[in-house]
Amino acid sequence: MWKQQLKRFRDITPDATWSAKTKRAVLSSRIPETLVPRVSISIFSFPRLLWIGVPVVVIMFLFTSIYFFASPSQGAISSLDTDKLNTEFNSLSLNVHLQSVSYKDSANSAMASAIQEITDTGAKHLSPFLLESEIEILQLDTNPPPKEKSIDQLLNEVIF
Amino acid sequence: MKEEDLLVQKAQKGDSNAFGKLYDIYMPRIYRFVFLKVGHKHDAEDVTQHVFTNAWQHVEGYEFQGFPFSSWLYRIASNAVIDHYRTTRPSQDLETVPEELLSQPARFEEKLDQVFNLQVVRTALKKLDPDQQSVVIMRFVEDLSTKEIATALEKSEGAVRVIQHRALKLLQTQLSKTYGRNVETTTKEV
Repeated sequence: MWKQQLKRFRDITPDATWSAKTKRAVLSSRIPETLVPRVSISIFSFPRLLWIGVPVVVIMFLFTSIYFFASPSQGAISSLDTDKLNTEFNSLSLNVHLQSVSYKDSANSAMASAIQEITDTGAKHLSPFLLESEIEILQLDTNPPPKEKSIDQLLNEVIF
Repeated sequence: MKEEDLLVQKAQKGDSNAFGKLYDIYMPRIYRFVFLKVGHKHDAEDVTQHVFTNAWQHVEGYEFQGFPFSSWLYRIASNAVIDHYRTTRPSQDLETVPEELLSQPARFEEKLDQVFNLQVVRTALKKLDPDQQSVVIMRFVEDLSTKEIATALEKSEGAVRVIQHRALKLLQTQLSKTYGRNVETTTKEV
C-alpha cells in the first residue's frame, strides 16, 4: 500500500508559469559562448600572455634607454649629465682637502707646543731644584712635629 | 549515441537550447525530489532553480561515467537540499498534500482517504534521515536503479542497499503505528 502511495507522489508537478519563468532565468544566468569572442579568451591564456608580454617589455626597455641616453639635457635625467657630475665631484674633493689641511695645521701647532714644553728645562715642573725642595718638604711631613707630642702628653695627664 | 548524450554535449559547448531541453526533461523530477525533501512549495522552487542554474554554469565539468545525466542532477539537488537546511531554520512541515495529487475525480470519502494516506506517508518519510529519504524517493518514486542512486549520492551500492533496508524498516514501523496494524510490506519485498 505505501509503495502505491509513494508512486502517487509522481503526480507532483511544478507550476507551469513558474517553470517557464525559471527556465528563462536559468538560461540567462550564463552568457552563451557564441556571444563571447573566442579570441579574447584564448589571448589571455598564460603561454600566450608570456609570448606577447616579453617582447613588449623588451621593446619598452629599449625605447626608454634610447630616450634617456639620446637626450641627457632633459630635466628628468640631469643627474646623469657628466659635466655637472664632474663639477660637483671636483668641488666636493676640494672641500675635503681644505678640511684636511685645517685639521693638520692645528695638529702641527699642538705637537710643536708639546715638544717645546718637553725640551724646555726651565719649566717649573721639570726643574731639579724644585723637585729636590719638594722632597725635603715631604720628608719633613713624615716626622711628627714636636708640638703634637707635647699636646698628646697634656691630654694624657688631663684624662688619667 | 543517445539523444540525451547529444544534448549534454551541445550544452557543454554552450548551447542554451540543448540545456533548455534537458531542463524540460529533468526539471519535474528534480522539483519533485526537492519538494518531497523540503516539504514547501516555495522552498522547492527556489532550490530547484538553484540546482539548474548551478548545473548550467558547471555543465562543462560533467563527465559521462555510464550513468544518465539525471544522476548528476540528483547529486547537485542533494547537495542543494543539504545547503538549504544549513542556511534556513528547520520548520515543521504542515503543508497540505498538493492539489495536483487530488485532481482525479473521486467521492468525498475517497478523497479524504487519499489525503489521509498521502499525508501519513509523507509524515513517515519526513521522519527518516536525509539519506534514507533520498534513497526512498529515488527508488520508489522515481524508479532509479541502485547504481544510479549510488552515483547520485556518491555512495557505494552496498551502502545504498543498507540505507534502503533501514529506511523501509523505519517506514514500516511508522506506518504500523499510524494504522494500528502491520502494513503489508516488509523489507523482503524490495
